Amino acid sequence: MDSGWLKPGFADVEDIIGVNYSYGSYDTIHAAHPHTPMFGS
Amino acid sequence: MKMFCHLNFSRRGNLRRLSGWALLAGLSAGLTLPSPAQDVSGRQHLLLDADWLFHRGDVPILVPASTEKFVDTHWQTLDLPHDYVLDGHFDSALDRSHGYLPVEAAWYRKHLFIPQTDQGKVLRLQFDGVFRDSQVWLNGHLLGNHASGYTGFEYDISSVAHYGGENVIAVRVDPRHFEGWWYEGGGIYRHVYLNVLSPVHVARHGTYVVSEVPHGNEGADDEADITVQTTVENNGATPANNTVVSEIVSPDGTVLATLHDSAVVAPGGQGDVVQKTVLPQPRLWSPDSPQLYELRTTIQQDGQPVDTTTTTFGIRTIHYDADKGFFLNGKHLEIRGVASHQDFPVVGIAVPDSLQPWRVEQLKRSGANAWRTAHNPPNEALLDACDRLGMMVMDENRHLGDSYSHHSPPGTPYSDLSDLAEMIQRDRHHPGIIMWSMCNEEGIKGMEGSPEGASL
Repeated sequence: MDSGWLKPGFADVEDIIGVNYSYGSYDTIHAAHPHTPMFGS
Repeated sequence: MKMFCHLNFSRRGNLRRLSGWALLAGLSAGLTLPSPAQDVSGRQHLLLDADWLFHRGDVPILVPASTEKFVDTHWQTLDLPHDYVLDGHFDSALDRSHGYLPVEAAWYRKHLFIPQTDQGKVLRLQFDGVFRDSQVWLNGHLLGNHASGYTGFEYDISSVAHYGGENVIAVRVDPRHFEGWWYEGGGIYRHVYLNVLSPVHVARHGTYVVSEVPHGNEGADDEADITVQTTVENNGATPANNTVVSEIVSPDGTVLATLHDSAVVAPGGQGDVVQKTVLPQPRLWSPDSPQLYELRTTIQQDGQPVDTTTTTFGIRTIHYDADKGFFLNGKHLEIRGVASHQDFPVVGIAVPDSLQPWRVEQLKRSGANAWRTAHNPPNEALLDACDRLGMMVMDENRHLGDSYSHHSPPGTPYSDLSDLAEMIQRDRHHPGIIMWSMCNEEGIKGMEGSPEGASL
């Protein structure tokens, strides 16, 4: 994914949230999904 | 041996694979033999990469190129894997993302002898990867269409094969509708096989090994619980009583366990046999110590083997923590990954198997320990190399539903996960895979933050 992490959707159901690019948003995304691992690529 | 019975009709008189057996059988010079990739009891897995005939561009349909009568003697002879887009001339007016190279449809044909003794067996043509939107015929009979250029497929040819005579495989490929935004090439760029099977056999992607190390997340390695699921297919006309024999073989070749279980499979059906065992002191797979086990599966009927397959697998525990990251066998491991596409200089997408270990070794030498297969299921030889050399893998699906052009049927919704399922069923025994990717971001554009996306 390269967007949509902060809205209801994929990020709510994935085992691991994929974060393409968006290095500056890691902390914000993690705060929104504190119990779900993230994977940056 | 049985594997010498399948002969390719060659237009270039390649004698290098001719055997005395073939000559004794009264077959004239000019015939070649397919390379046996696997020769096991009851099953033949015959490589058909050699001696294809190729024509770039479409063919006038007066005598369709799909038919046996079509004259192909003027076509180019070549061996697979093949990427013909790479042979074009650069043109700055063409698509930048696909390398400024012209893309057009093309045809392949192959002449193949199938012996009379194969009648009554199950014959299947296996294509590991064709880019893309392929149509395949045998002896003029349309076998099917496969849209994806990144997943493998198989056609049953038992009812249309000519036994004891020449057969003609015809393939049309059309890569003009892209699936991605990178160089994608065109052609039959992965292996083609003829599988000759007994009516009762292990189904396609029909072995599944799950290993679990109790307390593996805490670093335990005392024992491993092994579950083997075997899908048996019965193409016969009567119920099949069969016994599944599963041997677990250690990395040094020792048979550690032999499991026997019987089942009855209905005619025309499939049935799963599940077996369990415990292995003491398993040798765990990791990038630093890529230990590989083997599962040898034998299907027996009346005590006689009718099919045998081999599945390579590994034993390891993976765990992700939202705060601490990735753990392998209970130890934290930083993933130092690369996102790498399947194409390579000079060969395009037709990457020889022998090049895959070299690519993995170069990346390991640079400090990488993981490979994201950007952005499609890779050649399986790459996954084999990653398993063997200790490279972790994020195995990535191309798209969901018909989010690429010409998925069949058009209008297939995102919720169609058939390509994802094909990838996982093919690759699930590779210990190097630590993550499945549903697709790259463009395949779900607009759905990431939506209830529809979550519902998938």
